[in-house]
Amino acid sequence: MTMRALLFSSPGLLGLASGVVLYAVALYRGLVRSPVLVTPQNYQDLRVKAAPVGVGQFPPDLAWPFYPVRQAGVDLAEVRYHLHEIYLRLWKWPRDAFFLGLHGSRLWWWVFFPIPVTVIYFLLVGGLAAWLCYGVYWLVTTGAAAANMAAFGAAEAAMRSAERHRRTRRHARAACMHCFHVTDWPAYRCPGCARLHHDVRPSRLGLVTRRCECGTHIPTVASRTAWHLTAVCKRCEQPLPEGTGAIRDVRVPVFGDTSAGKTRFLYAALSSLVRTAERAGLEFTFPDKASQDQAELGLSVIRDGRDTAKTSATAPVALTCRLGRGRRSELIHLFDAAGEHFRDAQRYDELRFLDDSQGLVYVLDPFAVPAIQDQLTGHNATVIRQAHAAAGDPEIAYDEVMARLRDGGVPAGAQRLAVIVSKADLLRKTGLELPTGSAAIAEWLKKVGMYNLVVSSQRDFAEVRFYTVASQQVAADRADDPEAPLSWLLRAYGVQLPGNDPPPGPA
Amino acid sequence: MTTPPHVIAYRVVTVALATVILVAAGFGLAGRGPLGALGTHLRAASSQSTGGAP
Repeated sequence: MTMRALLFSSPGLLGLASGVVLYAVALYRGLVRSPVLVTPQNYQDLRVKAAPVGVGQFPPDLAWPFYPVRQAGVDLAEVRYHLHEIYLRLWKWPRDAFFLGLHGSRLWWWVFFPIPVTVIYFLLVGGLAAWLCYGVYWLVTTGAAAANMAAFGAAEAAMRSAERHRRTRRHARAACMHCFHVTDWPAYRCPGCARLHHDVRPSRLGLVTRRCECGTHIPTVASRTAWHLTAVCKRCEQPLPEGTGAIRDVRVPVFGDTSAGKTRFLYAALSSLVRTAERAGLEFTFPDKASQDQAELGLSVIRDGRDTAKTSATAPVALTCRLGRGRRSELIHLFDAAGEHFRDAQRYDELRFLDDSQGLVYVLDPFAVPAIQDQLTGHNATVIRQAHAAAGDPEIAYDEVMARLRDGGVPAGAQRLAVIVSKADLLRKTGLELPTGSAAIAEWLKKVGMYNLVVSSQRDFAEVRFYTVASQQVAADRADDPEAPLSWLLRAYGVQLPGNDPPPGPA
Repeated sequence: MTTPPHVIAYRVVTVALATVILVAAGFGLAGRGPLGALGTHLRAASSQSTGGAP
C-alpha cells in the first residue's frame, strides 16, 4: 500500500480534513476570538526595558507599532498555543482509553485493534495536516515580516536621511521663547488625545504616518507634522509658532553693556526690516501676542523718535517674527537682555539664549570709549547728554559673553558676529568723522583704544563685520542703516531678504 | 482595546496567502490545479526518460 493510498483512505481523508479544521479553529481563537494585542503601552514598556530612558531623554512615543515588529510574532505564538491545546485535547480520550485503561479494559480495546489503530492513525494524520497548515502560515507570516522589515528599514533610513539633509540645509530647529530651549525638532501634540509625541521621525511606529494610541493618524515627517499639529517645547511644553521644526529658524541675540543702545538698535533694525519687507510685498508678522505687543511698543518708540525705556533687568526679552507666509516663511528670534545680565556671573542661566544662537550682535557705545570721550571734551554738551553714555568698559560685556560661550562649550568659531557702533547719528552731530565700511570701522576702533576687542573678536568668531548704526537719522548713503547688520546675519543663514543693499566689505 | 485596522489588514493578508498556498497544495495532491498539472507533467517526463517503464 503506497503512502498516497494510505493518505486517501477514509480515515486518512477524515484526518486531513479534521487537521484543516483544527488549524482553522486555532486561527480563529488566536486571531479573532481572543487575540493578544501589542498595545502602544506594551511596546513602550518593552522598549524602555530594553533601553532604559536616560536623563533628559523621553520614553518612546505611545503609538501603534508596525505589525511585523512585534505583533506578527505574538500572533504566530497565539495560533501555535491554541493549536497545541486543541490537539492535546483531541488526544485525551484515546490516550485514556487505549493506553491508560480509564474507559474499560485496555486489553479489550487492543483485541479489537483496528479501532485504536484507525483512531490513532486519524489523529496522527489530523495533527500532521494541522501542523503543516500552521507551518505554511508561519512561513508566510515570517517571510512577509522579513521582507517588510527589510524594505521598511531601507525606506526609513532614506527618509530620515532626506529629512536630516533638509533640516540642515534650512536651519530648521525648534526654539522656545519661554525657556530658550532649542531642539532639532519640537514635540507635537496629538489633536485627538493631547498626548505629546516627542519624536515623529519615520520609525517602527510608522513610515509615512503613525497611529497615536487614541487612533489619530499623525504624519511622521516634521515638515508635514508642523502644519497639522501644534508644536510644543520639549522642556516647558509651551506651544510654539506654527511651522516650528519645518521652517528656517534663526536666532540672533543682541548683547552689550547697560545703556549701550541694544534695545534701540533692535527696534530700529526691526523697523527698517518691516519697511523693506513691505516694499517687497513680503508678509511680516509676529506669531504670538507677546511679540506683537512688544514690537508695536518698540516700533512706535522708534518711529516717534522717543527715548527707549531701560530694558527690564528681571528677564531677557525675546521677540519672534515671521518673514513670509506659510511653508515658505521663516522665523526670526531676536533676544535682548539688560546689560546687567552680562555683568553678573550668577545670572548666567538667564543667558541660555546665547548658547544656541546662530549670529550675535555686539553693541558698542562709542560715548563709553575713553579715547572718544577725550576727543569730545568741549564739544556739543547737549548731544553728549542725549547719548546717555554707558558707564562701564565696553570690553567687559564682550568678555563676559565670550566667557559664557566658552563655559557652555558653545563653538563661537562657527558663529558670526556683527559689532555695532551705536549712536552714530549723535556722534556725527558732535562733528566727529565716522568711517564707513567694515574694515575702516575696525581700523578706527583699533585707533580709539578698542584694539583688543577688535582683534579678539576676529580671532573668536568665524566672521566679524563692523557697522555704525543710527536709530534716527540714517545717512543718505544708508551707511548707518540699522538693518544692515541684521540683514547680513540673517542672509548668512539663508533668510530670503529683499533689498539690494550691498553688504559692507569684509573686515 | 480595539484592534487597529493595520493589524487586521496584515492578519487577513497573511491568512489569505497561507490559505491560497494550502489550497493549491491540496489540489496538487489530488492531481488537480496548476500543482497537479505540474505533477502529471513531471511524472510523464520521468517515465519517458526511463523508456516508458512504470
